[in-house]
Amino acid sequence: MTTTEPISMSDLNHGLFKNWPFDQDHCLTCALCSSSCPVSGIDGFDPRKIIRMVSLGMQNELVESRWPWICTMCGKCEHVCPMGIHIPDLMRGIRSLRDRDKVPGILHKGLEAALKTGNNLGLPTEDFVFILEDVADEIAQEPGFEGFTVPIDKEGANILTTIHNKLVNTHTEDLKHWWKIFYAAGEDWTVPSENWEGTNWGLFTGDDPIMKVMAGRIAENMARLKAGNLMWPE
Amino acid sequence: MKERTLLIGNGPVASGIAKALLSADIPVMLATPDTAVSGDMDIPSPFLEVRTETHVSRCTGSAGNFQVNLSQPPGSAPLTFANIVIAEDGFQKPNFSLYGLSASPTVLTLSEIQKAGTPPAPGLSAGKTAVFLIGMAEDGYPHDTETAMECCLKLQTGQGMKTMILTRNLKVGAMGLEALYRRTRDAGVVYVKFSDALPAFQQDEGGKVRITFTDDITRMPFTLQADLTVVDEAVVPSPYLKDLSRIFCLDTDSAGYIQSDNVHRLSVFTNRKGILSAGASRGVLSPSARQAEIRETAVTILSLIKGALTTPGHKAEINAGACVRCLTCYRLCPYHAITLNTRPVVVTDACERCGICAAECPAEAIRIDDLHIQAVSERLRPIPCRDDSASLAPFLVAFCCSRSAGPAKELAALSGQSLPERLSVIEVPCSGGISLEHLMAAFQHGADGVLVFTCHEGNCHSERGNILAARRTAHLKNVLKQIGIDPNRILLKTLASNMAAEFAETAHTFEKQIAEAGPLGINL
Repeated sequence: MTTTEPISMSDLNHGLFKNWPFDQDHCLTCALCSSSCPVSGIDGFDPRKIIRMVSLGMQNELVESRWPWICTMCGKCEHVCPMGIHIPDLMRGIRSLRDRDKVPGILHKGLEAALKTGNNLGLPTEDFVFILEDVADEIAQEPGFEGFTVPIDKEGANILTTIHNKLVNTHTEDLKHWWKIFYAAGEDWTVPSENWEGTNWGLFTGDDPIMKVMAGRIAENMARLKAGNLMWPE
Repeated sequence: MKERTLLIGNGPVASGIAKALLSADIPVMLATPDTAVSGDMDIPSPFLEVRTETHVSRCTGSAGNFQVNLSQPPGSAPLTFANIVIAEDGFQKPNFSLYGLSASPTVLTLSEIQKAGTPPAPGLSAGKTAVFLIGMAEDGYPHDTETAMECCLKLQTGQGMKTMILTRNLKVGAMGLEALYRRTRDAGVVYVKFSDALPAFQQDEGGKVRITFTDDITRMPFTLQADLTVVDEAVVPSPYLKDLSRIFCLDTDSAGYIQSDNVHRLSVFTNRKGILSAGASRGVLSPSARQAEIRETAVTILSLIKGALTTPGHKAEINAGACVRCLTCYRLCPYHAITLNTRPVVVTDACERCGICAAECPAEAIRIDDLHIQAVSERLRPIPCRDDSASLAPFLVAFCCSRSAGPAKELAALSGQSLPERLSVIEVPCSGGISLEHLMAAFQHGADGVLVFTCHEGNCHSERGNILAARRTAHLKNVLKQIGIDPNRILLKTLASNMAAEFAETAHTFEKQIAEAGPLGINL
């Protein structure tokens, strides 16, 4: 982020984000966050800059800046911060200030698809069921797993599990490991055919209402299928 | 009135000390060149006497019996005091010129704003911006930061003003400062820190200041309009302190405060027994440190009165018949324990037994009985070799300062570290007392090598004893060379009292080196 025109510090409202419960105003500018951050330096990003800008009340600059979107929200900065500033939450706070249609491409698209179809990929139910059954068939070919099937929409199971979208996209092999464990353990489990998405990108876009919608859908599945426990890998 | 203390100073530390001493029934005379004493000095006590517009002009005597001449009333006889405390208030010099600013109703100093009412200047209402410049041009002090933070809190919460502190390093390393910092941040005080380029200041005729700078953290350019600008002040020793250090013969630090940069003087000691330096007289002090300073001074005065701080043992004595009145002893005594009558006289109570006078006296007219060359020679009998030794280990003599190498050697022995087989340790109160004669005597009594252990530079209780010892050692090396003896048979090393391993290692390395060189073969 480069600015050539001087910003008038007197005109900024330094108290603008005072009510945020993230303690950004306690920053001592020690730079432990900057040195711990795995993406410090990318396009000039550095978590301390963001904390400083929030502290000074630089709302416009923050909303326009790409910096808050470079953060991966890994949380190392918060772990090392001597003043206990909640830096990833602060990043979410800033991201929430952007108009939703200006949320960066892939996050925006994924969330729109999730809201519309129940998963980030926009995968239709028939395709989802086809992929799961195909993986189940492959498992059933292996010695010791004869007759293996995937229990989709089974009522009254002990465990209901969500699915991370990449497991039905590029990483289908990864489904097999835990399904085999279920089989070996004789577990009574199920996976819903609708709203099975395990990720919640409302987290990364700073969108609390969307997080609530996504979590609500899982709760609905639990009630509909009368499942005993939820397994939510992601 | 034999316990009476002379308190030189005016201000919160002086009045605190006066109260503490009076509450312990110690009579106090307070003398200050100021025309009036500060309000908190209004202590109803028959044991307090206050003299304003009064300078100290002369002082003789020593702890327990100082004779002090005061400028008021003129020509009066000297007064007797048991002890003396110097507790002058701070002296501040505004930093306007360092920032290119000039004083105006809205460009003030930190102490002005501290004393000012609310609003601190006309026209400063809610929403106006106040900017504090702290430690920007010259290194600041935590107490400046503390004062600025407190003023900001007052202006921000009481007046609704916007306040900012522009600083180089935000120094929060003093009692309660980090908590205060948090409170200011919660109140909305903004901090801008600078490490490279400093801001540019432009003061208009109305006293407003336009400040332009690049923010260190975001690297973005900013401007700032200050309706009120507050500059910090350089803290310097008061001019009177210079007179006092001369009159009382007190060591000062590089800035001129009364107390040298010497760990042995902490917290309120000076080089002279019975004369203490407290508060802004001994350095820059934060307001929050005052109480500790006052307590420390009062406790030390009580200890002095009870005689708890006297140095036991033989003291220096001058043989009047041998003295040629060259005044070397008078010049070199770090404790000012030698006064001049018709000839130099040792003030026995003030003598700390460092032995510098005796070691340096060109007429050999001074002796401290147990440190005298004969007494030390008694302790220099060579250690016989163990029967099972295959070859004769070298005989080593180590002169050790009792404040550093002495305890280091004890610690080495206690922690089971091996020491050279034939090492004779001669502990002395200060390495400044190790004379050329002592060193030569060691060789004369059969030493193959001589070690001289002194305190680290700047860490000598006698201020320069270690430097004098180093100078004599260097001189003796030269002499040894001239008479055909390897100068490496004498080694000087500085140590601290906790350096047991270094003591043992130095001694072993030296033993090895001397063993290789072979026996010296002098035994008279």
